[in-house]
This record gives sequence, C-alpha cells and structure tokens, in this order.
Amino acid sequence: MAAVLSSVCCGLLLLACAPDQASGPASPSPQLLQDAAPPNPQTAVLKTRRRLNEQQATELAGRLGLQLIHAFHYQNLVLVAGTFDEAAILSAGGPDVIGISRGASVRGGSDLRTWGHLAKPRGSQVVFVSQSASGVRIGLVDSGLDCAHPDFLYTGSTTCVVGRSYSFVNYEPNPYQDLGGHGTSVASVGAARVNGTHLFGAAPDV
Amino acid sequence: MSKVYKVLDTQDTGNCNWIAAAVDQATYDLIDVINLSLEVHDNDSTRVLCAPLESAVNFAVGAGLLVVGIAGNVDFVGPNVGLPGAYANVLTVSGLKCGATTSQGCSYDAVFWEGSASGPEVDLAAAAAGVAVSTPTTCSTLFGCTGGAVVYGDGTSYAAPLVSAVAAMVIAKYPDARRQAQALAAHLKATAYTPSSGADSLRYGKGVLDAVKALATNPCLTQHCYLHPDP
Repeated sequence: MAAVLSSVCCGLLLLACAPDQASGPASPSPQLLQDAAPPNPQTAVLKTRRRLNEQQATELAGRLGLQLIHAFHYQNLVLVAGTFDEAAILSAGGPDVIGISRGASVRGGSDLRTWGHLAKPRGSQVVFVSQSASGVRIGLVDSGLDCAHPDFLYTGSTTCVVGRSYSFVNYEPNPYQDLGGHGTSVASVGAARVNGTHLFGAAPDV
Repeated sequence: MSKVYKVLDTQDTGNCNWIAAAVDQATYDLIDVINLSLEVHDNDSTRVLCAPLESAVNFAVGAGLLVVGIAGNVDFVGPNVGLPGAYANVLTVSGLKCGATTSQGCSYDAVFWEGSASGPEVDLAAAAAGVAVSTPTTCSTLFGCTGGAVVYGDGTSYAAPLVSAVAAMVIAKYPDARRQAQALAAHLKATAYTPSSGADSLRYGKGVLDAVKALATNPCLTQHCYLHPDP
C-alpha cells in the first residue's frame, strides 16, 4: 500500500520544490525584497512607544517629514510614506519611535501586502484594520516554525512567542525548527510580530 | 501564532494520521482556530480520503474550534478543491492575486488567482499570490538558504492564515464568539464582499474576506451561538 503523503501547497514561486512537484508552468524565482528596484515613495511601519491617536500620529509623521497613511488604533504602530533614512528617523523620532519595519514598498511590500488586502478597498484606497487578537490562540498545523526568526521573538528578546508546541513527526521531534520552510512562511502571513524587521502579519499580537 | 503542531517533515510532507493526531491535540488544547494550510494526496498527487483527519476535524468543529483550510493549488492536485478543504466542516479559502496597485500598495480587489483550485466547497477568498512571507533563518527545502529573508510566494497556503488572523481578531473583539465555529464561519462568509468582477461561488465562495465588516458586528447577534460542553 502506497504511503499516504500529505504535502503542502508549495507556491509556484518557491525555490526548492522537488522536481516531481514542479510540473506546473515554469516558475519564476523568489524575489528577495532587497533586490527589488527601490520604489518611491516608500512606506514603513513605525513602532511607537505608546499608542497614538490619529492627530498624534499625524504630528509625528509631520515632524519626520513623512506622510501618515494610517495609525493602528489597537497597536503601537503608525504606517507612513515618504523617503526614509532609518537612522535619521530613529534619532528625530526621539523617544517616540522605537522601531521601523521596512522592506515594504508602495508597489507591494511586505507590510502593506499583509495588511492591505484584509478588507474591501474603498475606491482605490487600501483599507487598514486595527484590532488586537491578543489572548486568542491559533494552532499552526504545518512543518513547524523557526523560533529563531526575529518575526517570532518578543521585542528585544530571544524568547519565541509560540506557546508549548508538539511534533507528530516521529523522526523530527522539534516543532520550533522548520527545515521544510512552509510553516514559517504561513505563520508569518498570519502572525509575524511587529518588531522593526522583516514583515508583520495580519494579527501580529495573536 | 500560539501553538505549533508539526506534522510535515524536512520535505514538507507528512501523513494523514499525524495531521489527524495534531487536530485532536489542538482540540484537547482548546485553542480557538486551527490553520490547515496543507493538502492530503498520495504519491502521484491523487486526492485521497483521510478518514481519521475528517473525523478529527468534525470533532474539533463540534467542540467549537474554527478549522480553516485551503482550496489548494492547481499545480499540485489539479483544479478541484483538495482535502481537507473539501470536508464540509472546514472553512475553505481560495486564492486571489493582486488586482490593482494603488499608491498604498496592492489592492486585492478580487482577481482570481489562476493557480488556486476552485469548486463548490470554496467558502471564502483571500490573497494568495505575490504574498510577502518570511523564510526560516535555517536552510529549508522550500526556500533554500535565504537566512530568514522576506520573499514573495504564491499559494492558497497564504490565504488561509489571513482568514485565521481575522477570525482571531473577531474572537478577541467579541468573546461571545469564542469557540463558536459554526457562527464564526457563517459570519466571515456573511460579511465577505462581492468582488467588482461579480459573484462567482465556485471561485470566491461567498466572497472576499472583509475584516472591517467582520469586525463591525458581533457574530452572535446574527448567527446562532450556543452553549457546548468542553470536550
């Protein structure tokens, strides 16, 4: 009896699908964000020390020479557009700004993609969502999660945010390691933390 | 992501019984949402039944856990919805691609991604193509050695966690809806929007995920929420 395999949905773009799984159309290579042509203007998410209302966020963006796109009401985050100099922003932002999540471009970067498609666009405007999911538990049934990835560490810590986990793969007992790669990518879409690096997920505090 | 249930190995493959056991464990753990971004098929990509998994899913949903699954990818198991997405109790998500690029980024106003499977089992649609994802810091089979970098990926695998995340936000805002799987699923479908290209239930199910509308009302005001015993 043939072994029953349960394999994940390997995306068309992904690098290392086994040859017998890559029978679809020719796959473009994954595109590293840092290789993308620098778009202009760019966007970034600023992590702030405290939660800002719309007016405070507007003031902060103005002080940094940036345009406010959205203040996330339930998280200490402000989405801004403009031309960035990270060091200058961190210094001019004074005590308010404690992190910048970059890599996102207006053309379609990580942060924006992860947020922008959660709701019906209003005209040509992407609609953003601010709602904490703290205290709710999502179970990721997948290839594990790379708990060394900064997207899943508490800010300024090496502690992984994931609770007690399990492996049902008898020859790979560590659920906090992801050698397949799929689970980490899926988890990042839903729940990558806001910590000034890489990207953040749709519900970053879940 | 609150708990991880590893069921896929270095090759991103696993077996039916492991997944069923993981769903059982998640039910025992009484988490809120189970994300199943995977498909069950045999070695030559033929869809297979996986009775233990269907049973585990039914038990989980009976206990009130929302189970989110995927339509699947065409290049993987063909154009029809795979398993566990085709199980009746799974909230099954198909995939969209970027419809238009705006000054604020990609608007996913519902252009169906041709790589997504479709069929009558589809419940909802969400973004799947060109999604930025984080890769492991270690080398991995799927991404190679990217050192944790962000890459763009395509797959209905990425549509499911968006729905899981919005469900988590709804539960956080409306604790009444915690472990009300049927009401949550019905609510997410009822608040989905019809894409500008028009309704197409095989491709979009009830429509496109709309977090704003989903968060605007308590699911238990419009859907039937009930008391159920903890398993």
